Amino acid sequence: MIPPLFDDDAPFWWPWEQPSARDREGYALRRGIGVVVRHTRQCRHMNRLALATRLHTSPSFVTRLERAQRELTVTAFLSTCRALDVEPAAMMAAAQEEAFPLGWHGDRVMDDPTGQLVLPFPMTLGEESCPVVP
Amino acid sequence: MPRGPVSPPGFTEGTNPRVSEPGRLLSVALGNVIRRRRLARALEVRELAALAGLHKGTMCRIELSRIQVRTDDLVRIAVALETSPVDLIAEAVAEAFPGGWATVSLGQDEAPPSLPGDDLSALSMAMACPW
Repeated sequence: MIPPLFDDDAPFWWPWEQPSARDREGYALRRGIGVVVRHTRQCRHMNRLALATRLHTSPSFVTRLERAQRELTVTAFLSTCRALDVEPAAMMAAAQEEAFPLGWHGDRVMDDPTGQLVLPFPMTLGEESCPVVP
Repeated sequence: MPRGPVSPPGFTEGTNPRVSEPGRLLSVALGNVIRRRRLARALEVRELAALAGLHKGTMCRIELSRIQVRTDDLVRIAVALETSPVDLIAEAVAEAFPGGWATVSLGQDEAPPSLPGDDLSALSMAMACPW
């Protein structure tokens, strides 16, 4: 089976690479971090090159970080927070809220029998969260 | 004459020279936080590793900050400890940087060079952004 190049109705993960629920949660948080990093970078009026210069890395690293195509360590997360001048707990809270809009496991919805907390994409931050960006 | 490979100057055994000092502090603090949470729940390393779906050696190295924790593993550990990644990160940051996050600023050697198009006034205006 050859996957189509573009199909709105296609699942996000192909059937042969369907990850487990744990991997989906990890990927969701990674995706949330990427969304928050991109949003923060744009709030700072920085391009990828400027952020990459602060991180002493390449712009492609920033691209993969924002697109959740790169596994992120806590050290790299801290470096990103330092480069963006954001408190790590605040950024992680925003990423967690972005990744799990229904709440974390402690806030699990009791009437949800499946326990699926990961919502489908796209995940976007509201423009009202950054009033500086025109 | 020492035998075997010679460590470069400034290299301490058991540390990663590519990790910055704040990153090392955060890794150590995160390992301590995970260990405290595990002991509070009366779990052994292998039990927590089984709950998190990780190898017990990996879990032990995480607690000893021998390896860097990935965010994916952080989610698994948080689920196993019935907490959230935010709580783990917040507690680790508070332990690693008792003086506050403001003290962990980019040093002069890490300051980015000025780039064409950099507008400091726009950057200072952007500081009003909650993020």
